[in-house]
Amino acid sequence: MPEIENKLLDEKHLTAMKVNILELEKENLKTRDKTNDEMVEAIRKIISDELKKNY
Amino acid sequence: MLMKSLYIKNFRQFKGETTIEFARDKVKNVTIILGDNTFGKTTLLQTFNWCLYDFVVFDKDSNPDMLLNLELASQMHYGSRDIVEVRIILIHKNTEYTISRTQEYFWTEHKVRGEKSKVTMSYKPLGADGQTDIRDQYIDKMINEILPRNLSNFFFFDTERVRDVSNRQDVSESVKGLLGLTALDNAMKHLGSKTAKTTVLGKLYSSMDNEGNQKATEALERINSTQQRKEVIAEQLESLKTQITDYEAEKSRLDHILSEGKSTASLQERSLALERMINRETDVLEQNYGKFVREFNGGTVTFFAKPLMIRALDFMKDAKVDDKGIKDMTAQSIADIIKRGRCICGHDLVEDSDEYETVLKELDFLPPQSIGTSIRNFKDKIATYDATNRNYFTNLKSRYEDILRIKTNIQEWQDEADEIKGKIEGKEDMKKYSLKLADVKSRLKELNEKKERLIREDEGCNNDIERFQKVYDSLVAVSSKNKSIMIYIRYAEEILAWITKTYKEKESDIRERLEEKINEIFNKIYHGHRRASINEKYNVTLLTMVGEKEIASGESEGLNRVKNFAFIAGLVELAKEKIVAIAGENKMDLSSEPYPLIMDAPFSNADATHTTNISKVLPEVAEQVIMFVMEKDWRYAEPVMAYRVGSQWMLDKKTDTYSILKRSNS
Repeated sequence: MPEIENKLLDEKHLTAMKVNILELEKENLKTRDKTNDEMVEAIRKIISDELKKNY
Repeated sequence: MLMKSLYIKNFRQFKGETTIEFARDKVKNVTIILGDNTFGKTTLLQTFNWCLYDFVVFDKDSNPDMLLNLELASQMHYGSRDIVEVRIILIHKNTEYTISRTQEYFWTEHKVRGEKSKVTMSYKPLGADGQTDIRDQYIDKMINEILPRNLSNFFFFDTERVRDVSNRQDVSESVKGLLGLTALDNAMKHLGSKTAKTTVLGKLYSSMDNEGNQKATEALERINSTQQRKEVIAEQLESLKTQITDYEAEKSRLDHILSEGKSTASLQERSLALERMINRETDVLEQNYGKFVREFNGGTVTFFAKPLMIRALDFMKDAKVDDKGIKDMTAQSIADIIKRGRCICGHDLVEDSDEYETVLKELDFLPPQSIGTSIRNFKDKIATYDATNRNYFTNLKSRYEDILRIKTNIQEWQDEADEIKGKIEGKEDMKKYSLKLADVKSRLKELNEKKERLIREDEGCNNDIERFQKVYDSLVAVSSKNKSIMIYIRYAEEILAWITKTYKEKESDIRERLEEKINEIFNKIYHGHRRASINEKYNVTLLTMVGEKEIASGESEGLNRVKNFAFIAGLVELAKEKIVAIAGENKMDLSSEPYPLIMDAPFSNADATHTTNISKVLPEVAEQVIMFVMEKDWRYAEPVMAYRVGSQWMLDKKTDTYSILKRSNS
């Protein structure tokens, strides 16, 4: 996996993920709409969806 | 979070329905509820505890389990039912929450009984219509996130009943949550770790295609087990740090006590040493007395007879000493041998035989025929007595001198001991502190050694994880699926590292700023020389300078109350400020909320100056203040606080079991 190790993470993707994950956490703090499992899945989806985007 | 209104139905002395609306204006942010003792102020405070957390604190003798109004209870009969309800409407993060707790009471077996209370919670965005219910299983958690139960003592502050709310339990998690770190904390938990299978990272790692790749699996297992060991080490280190901090504080306290009592300690040691010396010397004295008496009894007669003996020897110096006779033999002895008819050598003594004549001849050298042998015997005895007498006097004199010396020693030591006794009377035993200090030092040494060992082991774990991670990465990155998962993992780990770092930075910043706020407020209320300090459990200690050292100071009830006010006021003031996490160019507001201060009898036992100071400070630091106050105390607070009062109420006690609440004009 050297090629992955050496590849720098994309800052735009990374920032978008951080923002979206924290916004999701803040929103769920207010409403508790999502269970823990649903939150884990939603975060995983934020990461994978973000990486599909081209800036 | 601010309180909008409180609705009460049949709760204790509040028969029927009562609604209070709380002031929420920026300037007029104070709600005052006036009432004398037993009018229902504490009951109003307890409605908050009951509605939010399902507990109340009433005096034991006031039937604390019975919440239904007693007049209504006394009118109940078979088949009848009544309901107690408290409903709070609060605003938190631009959302209006309605929390309602009810308890149904019914008549059975000639007694009124209450069922288990029920709570419901719903919310709507501010200004919107309709309500959305929150699922039952999340209500307690939700309430605790808005206002943690273990901080309820602070927010629903019963001044007369709470002795020290800011110095008991570990409230760090609640304080951090209150100050806006819960979103970060939850994100960390959800991102999780490789070993936690239900988290983002755990799921990503488990979805890697490792089948058939034994080495990769083994490497992952080693990473996981080492990671688990690291977590155990981290917990142990945390616990060790706390223990070390506690022991160091104890060591500093003991050092201080011992340095203060150094001269006392040395006097106490000398006193004990003297006591031991006196006891030992007293034993020696007793032995010497015994020896003196024995020696006196053994030689006195011959010693005093010496002049007579000298005179006797003088008298006998010309007497003929016969040395032919057998010493101590008498004429009667010879007569007895002859009468027996056998000599001591065994020969028969027959008259006219040689043996007979030889024995008979002995009579010539014995008294009365001869005195020479007796003189010889006497002289021999005198020689023996003389030899005894030569040592008698020297020994007796030396023994007497020993006794005098020992008695002098004992007397000198006793005098010194008496003098020391006067100096150390009433002083604490410093030895016990020395022993404690030695114990604390030894424990600290052990703990520090253990800490070093754990740190070394942790470094070893890091090296192992890095090594096995390289093995694992090289083996599993073979498939394209694995490659994408590995990329997700790298992003997830990067985000987790960023959130963890942000959390730690904010947490440390929060503690520093909270300490500053508390000191700022403390100094506005209290004019003395003390400083408040917060530890990692967010407990507050007041420190004062002694010489160049800062030590924990004693706390009177009044001082303790000011400390508690300062803590809670500091907390609500800090909660008003924004906490921002920076991600790239984005600034994310993690802030908590303004919080109210709800206080029963805040001026109880406070003097006029403190009442004025508290009245000035509270409406400034808190965005909302709700106070239950006695009219006599309000007289001192009103001149300072009146312009900030937005809602004022008056309790009217009709009977012991019935009070009503009326809006009143200031």
